[in-house]
Amino acid sequence: YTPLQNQLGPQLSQEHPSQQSAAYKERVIHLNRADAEGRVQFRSNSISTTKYTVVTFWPKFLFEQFRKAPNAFFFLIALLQQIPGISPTGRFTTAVPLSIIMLLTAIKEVVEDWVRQSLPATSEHKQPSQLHSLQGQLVCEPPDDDTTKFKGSLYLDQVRYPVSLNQLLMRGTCLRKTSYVIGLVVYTGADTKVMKNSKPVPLKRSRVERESNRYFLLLLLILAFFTLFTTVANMVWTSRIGPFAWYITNNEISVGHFGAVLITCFIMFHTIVPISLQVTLEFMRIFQAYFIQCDLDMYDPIADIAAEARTSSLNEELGQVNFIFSDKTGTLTQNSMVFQGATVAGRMYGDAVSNGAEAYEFVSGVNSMRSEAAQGQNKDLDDFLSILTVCHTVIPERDSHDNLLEYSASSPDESALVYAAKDMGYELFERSLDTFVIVKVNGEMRRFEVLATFEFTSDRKRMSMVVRCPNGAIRVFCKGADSVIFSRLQSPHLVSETTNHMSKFAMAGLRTLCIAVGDMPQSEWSRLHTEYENARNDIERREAKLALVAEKLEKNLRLLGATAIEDRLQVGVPATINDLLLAGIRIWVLTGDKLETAVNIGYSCRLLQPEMEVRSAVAELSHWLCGIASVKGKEPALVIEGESLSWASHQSVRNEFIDVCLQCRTVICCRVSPKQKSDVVRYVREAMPSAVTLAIGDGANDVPMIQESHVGVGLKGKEGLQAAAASDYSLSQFRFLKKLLLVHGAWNYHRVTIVILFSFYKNITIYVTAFWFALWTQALYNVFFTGATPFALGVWDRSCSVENCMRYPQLYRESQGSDRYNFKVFALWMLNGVYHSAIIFLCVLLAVSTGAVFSDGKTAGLYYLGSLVYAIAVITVGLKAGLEHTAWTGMSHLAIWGGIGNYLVFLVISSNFFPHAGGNFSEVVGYDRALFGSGMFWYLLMLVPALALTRDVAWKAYKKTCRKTLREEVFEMEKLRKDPSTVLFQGTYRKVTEKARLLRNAVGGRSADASANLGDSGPAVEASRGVNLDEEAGPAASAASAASSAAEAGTVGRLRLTVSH
Amino acid sequence: MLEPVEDSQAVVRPEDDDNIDDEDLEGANNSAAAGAGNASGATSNRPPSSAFHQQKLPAWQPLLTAGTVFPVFLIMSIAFICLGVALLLANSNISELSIDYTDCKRIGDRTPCANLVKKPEFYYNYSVCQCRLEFKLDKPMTGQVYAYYALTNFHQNHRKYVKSHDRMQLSGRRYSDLDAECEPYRTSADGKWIAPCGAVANSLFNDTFKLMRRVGSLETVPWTVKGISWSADVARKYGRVDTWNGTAKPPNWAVPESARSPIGYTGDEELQVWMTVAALPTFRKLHRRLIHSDISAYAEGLPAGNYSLLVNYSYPVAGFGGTKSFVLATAGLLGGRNAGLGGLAIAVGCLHLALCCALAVLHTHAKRNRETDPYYGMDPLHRALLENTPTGASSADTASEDGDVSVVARRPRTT
Repeated sequence: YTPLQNQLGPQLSQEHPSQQSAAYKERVIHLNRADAEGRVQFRSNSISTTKYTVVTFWPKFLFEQFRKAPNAFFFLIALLQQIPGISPTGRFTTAVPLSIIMLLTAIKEVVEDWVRQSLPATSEHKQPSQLHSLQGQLVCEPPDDDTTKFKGSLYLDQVRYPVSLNQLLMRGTCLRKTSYVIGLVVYTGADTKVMKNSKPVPLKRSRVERESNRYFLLLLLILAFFTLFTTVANMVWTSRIGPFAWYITNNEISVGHFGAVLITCFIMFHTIVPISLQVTLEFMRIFQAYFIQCDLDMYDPIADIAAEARTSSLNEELGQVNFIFSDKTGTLTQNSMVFQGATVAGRMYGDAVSNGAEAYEFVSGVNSMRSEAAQGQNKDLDDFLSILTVCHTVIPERDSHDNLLEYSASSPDESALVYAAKDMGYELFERSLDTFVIVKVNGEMRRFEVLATFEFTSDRKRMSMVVRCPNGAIRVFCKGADSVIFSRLQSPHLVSETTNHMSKFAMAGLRTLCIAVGDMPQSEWSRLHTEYENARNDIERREAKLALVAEKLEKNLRLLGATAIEDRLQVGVPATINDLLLAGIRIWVLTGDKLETAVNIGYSCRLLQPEMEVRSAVAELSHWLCGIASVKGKEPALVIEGESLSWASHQSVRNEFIDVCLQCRTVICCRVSPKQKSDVVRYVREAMPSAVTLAIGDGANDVPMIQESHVGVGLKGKEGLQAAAASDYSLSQFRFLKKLLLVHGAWNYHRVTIVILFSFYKNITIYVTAFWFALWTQALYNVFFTGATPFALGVWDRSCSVENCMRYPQLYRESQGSDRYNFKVFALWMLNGVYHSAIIFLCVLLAVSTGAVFSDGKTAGLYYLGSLVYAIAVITVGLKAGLEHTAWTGMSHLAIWGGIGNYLVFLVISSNFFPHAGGNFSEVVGYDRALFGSGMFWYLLMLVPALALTRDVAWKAYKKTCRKTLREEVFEMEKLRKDPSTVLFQGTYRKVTEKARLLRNAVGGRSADASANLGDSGPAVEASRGVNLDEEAGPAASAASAASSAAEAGTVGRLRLTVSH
Repeated sequence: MLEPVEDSQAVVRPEDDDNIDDEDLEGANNSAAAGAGNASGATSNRPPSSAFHQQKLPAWQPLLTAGTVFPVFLIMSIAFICLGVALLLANSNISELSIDYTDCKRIGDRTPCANLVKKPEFYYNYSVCQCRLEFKLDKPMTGQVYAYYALTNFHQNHRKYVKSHDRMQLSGRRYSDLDAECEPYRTSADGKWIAPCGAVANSLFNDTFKLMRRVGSLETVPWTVKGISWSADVARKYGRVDTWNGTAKPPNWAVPESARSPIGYTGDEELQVWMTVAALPTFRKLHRRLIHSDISAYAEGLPAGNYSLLVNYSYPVAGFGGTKSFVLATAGLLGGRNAGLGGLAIAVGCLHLALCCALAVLHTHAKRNRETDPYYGMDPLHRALLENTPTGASSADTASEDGDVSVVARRPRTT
């Protein structure tokens, strides 16, 4: 089998490549000739999709890290601490934890990069001797980023073969139905189309993180205040008391002294900024992401695909989504097409039957078609089915025993049609792409010779074939969108009937496609054939020229009818959409489909609801805006076409447009391009800077949208992995979005915010006591004693049960806004920290006021007090963490009691084993016994945390009794074993009844010339020209003949080339 | 009390919660079936199903409403009030007598010692200012009696002061090349290493006392310097010194350390107590422990009666506005006399009691109101959310209607 075989003929152009005029710089590749003249060195095939290399790791990593404000801050502190005599703490109390944290982050980065790097390996190269003798040249386009175009010419033995995108394998292609292909490398490394297309992945940060950075600045202000206040106070004291305090040396005021005190205070108080927060968050998020991946409820056992969190930095963002932008085909629908009926020569097979609620059910017409086709009486039906069987690019795949395995098609629409035809007795038996098609009709073989093929493009919206029928007549087979077919008809015969039927199909949500046929005299074909071959061999303008030839062929057609294909909704889509709407999320659908189909899908997936006022925007928007005002009490929904959208992209009307859109409960954008998809997301982001957007899609055309939105979700579907690769989270089904948002999102938002608040709080609590005292600080506080507590909170806490999160989507609204994490909340938490530190300070002050704290009359000093304050703070903070837990798992106990235990163990170790280590270790010798041996410690241990947390507990009890949030209410119901729906949601519980559907008013909107727009745009609109990497390898299966491979690498762009023997 | 309930059992399970999966996936999504299918060997991406991986670890979820919290407060208030009363009772058994001798006058010429003792150098340039204080002990002090000195307005916690010592020197592991923090008391004028170096040691409290009881004549009350410092200090923190060669005494000292304690710092408990720097500018340090076994009169403690305290006044505090006191005290479980400790416990107990009452009222009030208004006690914003939800029913309740959703398509518009 050789796709180019038919080109071997005298009519082929024989011009030498060097004579060809080059309007642009061509790429010439010589086959097997390393010594060829004018040989150009192409780029190396090495590419790096990783963030770091061995060489650049440290510089790049350090740069990235120190760009983060907190890291730079701590680095500065660590440097300042190196000045001798300045630091009130040790010299390494910041440097060591910072190094540990950096090291941990570095390990994490390396691991993540490692995972990123592990691409499928290149297969074993086969080295056949035959290929070595092959001589020739390939002339093609210079490298560009357009994955939808490739043109070139292959010269073998002075014969020129056109090559196009069909022969090109992109980088990253997976071979599916063949063990190898023979190829020629055209683009390498960074020149490959895929690499040219790859944009640097946008750095996404969550809203919580962005806000936290602002609060970090607030903390710096507090730090500045503390530092200045303390410094000034020191100056005042030194000037007033200093001269008389003979026991203190060097106690005079100078500029140098002022500077030294300033730096000292700065170093001392810097600890109110939690050094461990960043790393706690990072690792916490890894766990959260891991749990997302492990969720069995988001695992699709049929496809064997689990959810994947490709980034861990957006986990909490999932809890705040306000807008979902969804693709339609493959995302809301299964992208698996089922033939449901047709209209042939004015007769409708199958019918849209009203089910009594103005909704239509489609009764399949397949059976009636089958029985009629079996009779063989209907000539039109015969033609119709012949076209379905012949006019496509589907290839039948057979096993070694010649049994049909499957039809391999690049678009699901095409295979649906071919399968349908087979079902009706018209079996596509054999096909040689550009040569012939053999159809088996009721046991009889019919051979159609393919003379010309004009493939589907989104501009042409149709596909045509010129074939020589078994009876010798030359005919043009054409299928495509109604708009393009109707204008090429010989007569308006059947147009009105067909239109009528097609509108019924569309009502039932089916995709339609017109079928037409034309006759062509031999003489005309002879003339056009030359033109056709010339066009095919033109490198630069092949498509345009072919389109011109097609125009000449595709006229005087005779309409046969139209097909109706159903694109089934994915499982659970309406329910999921309903719940997401309940959760307060607005869902916009952005699709390439046409308006009617989009509206239909809108209804069937409950995005559009009976009580909504649905309007299609084609007229003046402001007009429409008035319309909203006039229809009070109805929720508006907008359906807009890509054309109107491009009009709305003008800055002058954009605001107005977005205003209108935002007033609508839902917006459906149809016939939009990938760029427009991302534009819509951008408009919303710009108009509502605080809103969090999520885009979900499955195809390459969704990638811009996925990258533009705050959170990108890719579905691993039939359209390859491009969307999933560009996404932040990838799922296998749309319905999994519900758990991702309502459970993981809500939980993680709760966790991350509480951890941030708690981390700041705990540092305030301990280190503001240093503001009260000049107390020695222990940098270990952050990492070992209270480090695990926020971690446990951030990984294992569950703010509500999964069941109720899923059952009551309303709970999601709580996390959506910033009610739970905003400046006020942050400030109150910090104030609480100050309050707790004051309680601890005052109590300890009272306790040690005399200094005689032991039962044996001995006195204690500064370090005893420091240890005491510290121990009490560790315990108070640990218990506060416990108070913030909504679910105490074993991990929580481990973290809270473990953290406190860690401190006690540390105290024992440090007061016994390093008496001569210097620094604070030498000072605290024997402090374990001093502390545990004093009744004072135990007294304070009982009293102070209880006193400090009294306010917290009482306030919580008050809130949960008198100002409950919905989540708390449901949680309480859960505990009291009541069903929340019977109590809480009673008043609002309302089923969507048949009656409600009947009451629905007629949907307003575009009424004019709908007929002209009915009918679908063709087999490949939706599948489009997305880079179907996986699919492209399909046809290669049959191409894999006895030859073997010359391809150099498995991961480079390759040209599929065949050799005949 | 808070109700410890295992999470997994406490949940009210909606019966049709999983209907999306069960109905629509034609059973294929049934995890058991999938598990069986995958068990046949092929590699699967199926995530592990443990409770850990599915975030279903058993958990204790305390419910902190007024109803559950007020009993907790009640119990705690009772406990703290009891503790407070006990502490106050114990505190009343602790005796304490403090004598401020800052302004005491020299024996003989009645010159205020504070006027004479102005500089720390005073006591080796001049003779010590000796003064005597008479006091009466109304009630006997029972139990072990301790003698303290107390200073006010003395900032032993000043950062520079605290740092000005060399731990290695004090532990006996270093003789020379002392810590630079000791400056300017690191080396003497003739280049010898000061032992012990630094400002803390140099400013060692050097008043000495003699306590006498008037029993006809004056009888010296026996006391000891042993056991005033922490045992860990004597045993480990302060070490022996093998040789005093090449060392000099701190400038303010009258005698070198070798004279105070020939074996080294471990034997100088007074120094150890002093070097355990105080946390606050007002502090007390243990000076002597009374010996109760030698003379029978002191076996029970310090008897009531008249006493005379002879002070060798040489430590200047008047310059910075400080005071000096001599304190005699016994100790309880929590150290010295401190009524604040019991008071604080009682105060916390009372606070908890008040909160307990308030929450109990709140609880009964809320309980009554909830009978008529199921939304009572909800945040107004959330309440509004609940009442204005467009379609209250979630998919769990309505999805079943659609059955096979793919067949149902609704009419988009009327033509």
